[in-house]
Amino acid sequence: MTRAGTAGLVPAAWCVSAALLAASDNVRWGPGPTLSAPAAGFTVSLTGYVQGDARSFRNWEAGDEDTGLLRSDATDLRRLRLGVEGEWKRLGFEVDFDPRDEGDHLKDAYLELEIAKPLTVRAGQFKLPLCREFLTSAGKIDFVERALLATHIGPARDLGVMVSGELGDLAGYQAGVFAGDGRTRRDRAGATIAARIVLSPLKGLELGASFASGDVEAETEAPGVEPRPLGFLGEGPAGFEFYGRRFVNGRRLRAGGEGAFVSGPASLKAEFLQGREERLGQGPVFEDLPEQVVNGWAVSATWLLTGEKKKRTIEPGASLFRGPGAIEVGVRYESLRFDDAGPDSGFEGAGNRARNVRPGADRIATGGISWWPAAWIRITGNVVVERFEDALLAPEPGRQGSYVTLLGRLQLQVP
Amino acid sequence: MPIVTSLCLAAALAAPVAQADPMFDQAVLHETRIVMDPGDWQALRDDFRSNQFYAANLSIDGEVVLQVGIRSRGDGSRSGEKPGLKIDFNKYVKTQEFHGYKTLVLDNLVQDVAMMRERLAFAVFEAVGIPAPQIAHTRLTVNDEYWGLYTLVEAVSKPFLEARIGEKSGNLFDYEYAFPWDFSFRGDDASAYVPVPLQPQTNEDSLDPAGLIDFFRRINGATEASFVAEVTALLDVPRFLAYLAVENALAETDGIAGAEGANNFYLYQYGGQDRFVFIPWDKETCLASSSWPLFQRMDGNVLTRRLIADPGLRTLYVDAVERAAAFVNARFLLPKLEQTYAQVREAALTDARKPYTNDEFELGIHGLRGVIAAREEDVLAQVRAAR
Repeated sequence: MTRAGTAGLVPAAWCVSAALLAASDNVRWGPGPTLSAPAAGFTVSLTGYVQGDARSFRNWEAGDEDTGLLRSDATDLRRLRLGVEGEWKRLGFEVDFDPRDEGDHLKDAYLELEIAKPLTVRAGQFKLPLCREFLTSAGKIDFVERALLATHIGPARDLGVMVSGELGDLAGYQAGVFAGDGRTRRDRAGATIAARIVLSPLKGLELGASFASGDVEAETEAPGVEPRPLGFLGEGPAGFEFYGRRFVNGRRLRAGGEGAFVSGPASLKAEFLQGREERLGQGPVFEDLPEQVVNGWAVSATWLLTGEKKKRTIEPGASLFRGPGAIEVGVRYESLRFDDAGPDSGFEGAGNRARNVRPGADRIATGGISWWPAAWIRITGNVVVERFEDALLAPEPGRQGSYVTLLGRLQLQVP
Repeated sequence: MPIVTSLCLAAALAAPVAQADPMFDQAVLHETRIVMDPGDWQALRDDFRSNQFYAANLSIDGEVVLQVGIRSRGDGSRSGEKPGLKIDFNKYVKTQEFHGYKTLVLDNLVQDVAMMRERLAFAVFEAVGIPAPQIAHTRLTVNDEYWGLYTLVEAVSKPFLEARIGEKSGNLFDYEYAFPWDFSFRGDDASAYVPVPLQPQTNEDSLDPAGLIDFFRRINGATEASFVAEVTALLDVPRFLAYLAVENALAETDGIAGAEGANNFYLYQYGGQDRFVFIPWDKETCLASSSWPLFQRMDGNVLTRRLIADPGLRTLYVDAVERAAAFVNARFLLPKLEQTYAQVREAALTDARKPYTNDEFELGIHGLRGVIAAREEDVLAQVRAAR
């Protein structure tokens, strides 16, 4: 779909909804950009946010990409999300668009029907149910960047059908079949199944597990065209590639576990995700190679210093001009490590068809502070410290770390 | 040779003297060792026509570099038994270099039974003042197995350009032979030139081919009256004639005036200019015969044909060949041959993967001695006849 086409979906959805509402009695406006007709059970809201980022590199070279070095200090308009979501009795829909995303302008675009509390059916394009961090909106994550396990092992949005529901107050589930694991990604797998279950044994505590499985097909050689590797990529939060893609072919499996505990202003989260990719026929003489394995984990803690309750949307107790707003501090420690599943014997190579893969890993400590002067404004600052397991393949060969990046974000949200 | 012409040639050919990198020190037979997955080495040999890179650890004279990329290389010299190799130092390790170089060539010498023609040829180019890649012989060992006698050849890349041409910001093209081409104009579509047969080696992402297309348009389209002025604006003509002269003095069969069209050169466009310079490459097929016509195949290439059609430039060319022949003789080249022969003989005789026998190698050396000894006399006789 063209950019104009996807951009047109959002106002089209808004206009259709508004037209439908106009035919109803007792239409209300608000709170925020929301139209509702309570008697008819219809609500439609305009959603969205814009994020402007700044990054600065300390302790490592920053320069021209052609030389393999990172870009110099930079600012950019990172996201510009605009969407419409609505409900009509048991029917729901959401359409989101981001013209800044070169990969896929169309984000969520789905319809869902709540048949019963334990059973809702959704169809369209949306996120595969895998990995808590991945499923959290980019406007609501605790830090400027998602944990690497979400961005580099996690899937993306794709077309599919999913059932989900809540089983009392104790559990929730999602399970779906998708056309792939990232509709516009070059490394997209084929048909993928994904499922997630989350248990809530105690108030504030959630424990979950998820998995996804699909097949990725290697590109074939053609006259004048070299096939490109499609395996998982290892990139740090500053954008440095510490592990290049390998040639993969066959099953791509993701499986992970998660835990989150929220109490008052504090939260504690931990997540683990493993990705495995077969490398059938991907050796230099078309032999099968051992699976590629990537393990990612992250633990984080946050604290709202101003005492608000930690919720999905932070509501400052006293907004700007009447108080300090909401201030939250957080720390995260995470790791992303690549290797192969075969024996560690013989020459360890960094080549993209290496039998014995030279492992690559990045460990990151992030410290951050977020300030909401009002509910619709968020200013975030992070200090990211990276350390690479393989000094040879580090940004400065021979120096494992520490590599420091300063990240800043200004986010403005549709109220 | 008229003194003014000599002075012009000398001034035109004043090139910075290369400070030889230790790995190109011709006084020693170097030791190159590669350690890599045996399966990868086998795959590289089995699929020697592929450009697939493999990771390896490399050492040259004991200096180790880890996780370099190596692949099979060459056109007619590609071999599964004794692969020519391209080394890419920063294929996997960002910013990794070796003595300032990002790449290096290991030439397998399969096209030269004497295994030293290119080294001798580059010495002649340098003596005449045409910058040529540095080169030295090495024993190559792969996974502790002696694989054969190779040469380490300096890649024509930014370090070479900066050291020898004086700048590196321009567009460098590697001529990759794909079809017989006589430099005739192939139209205004850049795809007729880039990347085949002229493969960009620098500025790949921001290449403006307009200057390149214009070069071939002007050398073809200039009138007889304006040709010299046009080509002088594009090339250092005395320098280019000297280049051609060296190839002729060396009886090169596969150079600019090659039997199957132009071949074996790099073309560099100076940064921000429409001026170009040719850089020699792969001289394994030279010194084929002691007798070689002075204007051999000059009519087979648009540029060479039109240059020597001008009486003044023709004279300049003949003078340049005479000057080049002063270095293709027993006085200059035979000592180098003998020094190299003494240095590499044992390594050559124990090279079980060379595509010729030891007797053929020895005969090749003997034949090369004869060519060198007789070449100058043949050139001078033709020069006298041409004047």
